[in-house]
Amino acid sequence: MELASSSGRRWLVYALGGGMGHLNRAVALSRAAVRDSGQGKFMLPPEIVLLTNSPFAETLPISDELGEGCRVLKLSSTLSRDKTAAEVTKLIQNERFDTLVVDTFPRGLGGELATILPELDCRKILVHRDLNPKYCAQYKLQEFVQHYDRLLVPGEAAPLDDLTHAVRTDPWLIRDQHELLNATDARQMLRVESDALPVVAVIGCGRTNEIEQMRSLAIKLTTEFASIANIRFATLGQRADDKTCQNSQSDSITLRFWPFFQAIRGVSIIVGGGGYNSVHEARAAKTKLIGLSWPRLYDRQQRRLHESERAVDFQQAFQQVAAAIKSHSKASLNPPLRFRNGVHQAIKIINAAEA
Amino acid sequence: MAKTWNQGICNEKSGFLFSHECFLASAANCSRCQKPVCQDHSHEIVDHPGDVLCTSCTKKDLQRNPGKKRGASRSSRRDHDDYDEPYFYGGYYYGSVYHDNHYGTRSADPNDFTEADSESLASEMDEGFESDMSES
Repeated sequence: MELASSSGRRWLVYALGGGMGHLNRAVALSRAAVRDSGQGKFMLPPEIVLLTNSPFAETLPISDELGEGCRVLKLSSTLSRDKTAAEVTKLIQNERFDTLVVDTFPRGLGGELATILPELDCRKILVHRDLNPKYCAQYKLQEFVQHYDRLLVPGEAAPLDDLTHAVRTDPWLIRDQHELLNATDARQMLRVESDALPVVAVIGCGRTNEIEQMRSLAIKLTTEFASIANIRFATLGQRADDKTCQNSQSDSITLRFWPFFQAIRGVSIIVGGGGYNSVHEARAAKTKLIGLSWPRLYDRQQRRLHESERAVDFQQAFQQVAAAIKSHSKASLNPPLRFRNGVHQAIKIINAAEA
Repeated sequence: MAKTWNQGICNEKSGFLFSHECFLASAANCSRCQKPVCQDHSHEIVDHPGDVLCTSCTKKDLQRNPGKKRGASRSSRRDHDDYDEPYFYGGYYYGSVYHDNHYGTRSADPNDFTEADSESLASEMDEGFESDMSES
């Protein structure tokens, strides 16, 4: 397969990794690359192939987000490390592209880029999110990232962010400020009829067992607070027993749309994990976040969450939601926003490297 | 003096040959030792619905009463037989004459390391980086 582009520029965006974080960030960058074309030197957008193995990629309308000229290559999330590595290696060796953007894992998620990346004759950009320092040390990443032309540090501290070719940007978001729905339209999307009560959105993302635990929390919150708050459970995960639980209590509160960020102005309180997107989206929208840090091999969610955002367990999360509902006032909803989306800075940096 | 636990995270140690700290979010406290434990490491007490024991206390129970029925793990993962849970494969007590598995007890054989054990050792050393394609 050869990528053909009217602009002559071809990007391969490597976004392998579990959950939604890598995919969401890669989509945010890619859609900005398309939308920001027509400025400066590049009048036409690059053609982009986005490579993912997220289990959520199967059901999301990613192509609709990206528009023409972008393609999504989905590797099965159930492939073994060796088979995934073989697929990635074959793709990279057979494709022709002039920019490779690698999200998070400098050597690839399975180490499959370690030998082929240094030999590639293209611009290499690493998106340098937080990483476990033990991983950095074990694989000598400080040396390996010298193979990259630029490290883009998307809005948070990272172990190698002080290297001379690292450039910090604001956090990367999948919507710009002006693209967020206003509170009225957002609440319609959230299936909330009245604006009299606060809206609590419990985010079910990550691993299956984590999604189910968040679903249980949402049900418990509904049981307790249905008369004083609208509780919603936002998830992209399929419930294992969906077919037998069509009329379960959770059905009436479950929302399945993406990206959730577009409706955030209708939300008063978010209960989520400590992953990159949940945290930076809540902060950008100035929405109260109650975050539970899930254990990850590479990402340190505990560190990302501020103390004021952190709940140490479900009991504390429940108590914090109760307190937030009781102290909520309509005046606190929808404060003026002034966030900058770091994807546009990132596109300028990549384009400058291309020029 | 009562032991102090780290609240909010599971304080149980898991692992087959080498124990690791768990660090999952806690879901309950052990009814006996009050240790905060996650769903994977909490086991319902057969005669006391709603109460749970941590894996360590459950193992002590099993050692004292080998025939006793062990409560099922409260984990939402039901795709395996509860009795295949690795926490009950047994603790190794090197230098003594005893290790057990969940089917009973037998004498220790210092030579019965297997390939699986060496994989476990490798995993302990490198934490499994670059092997799990579902990580993030």
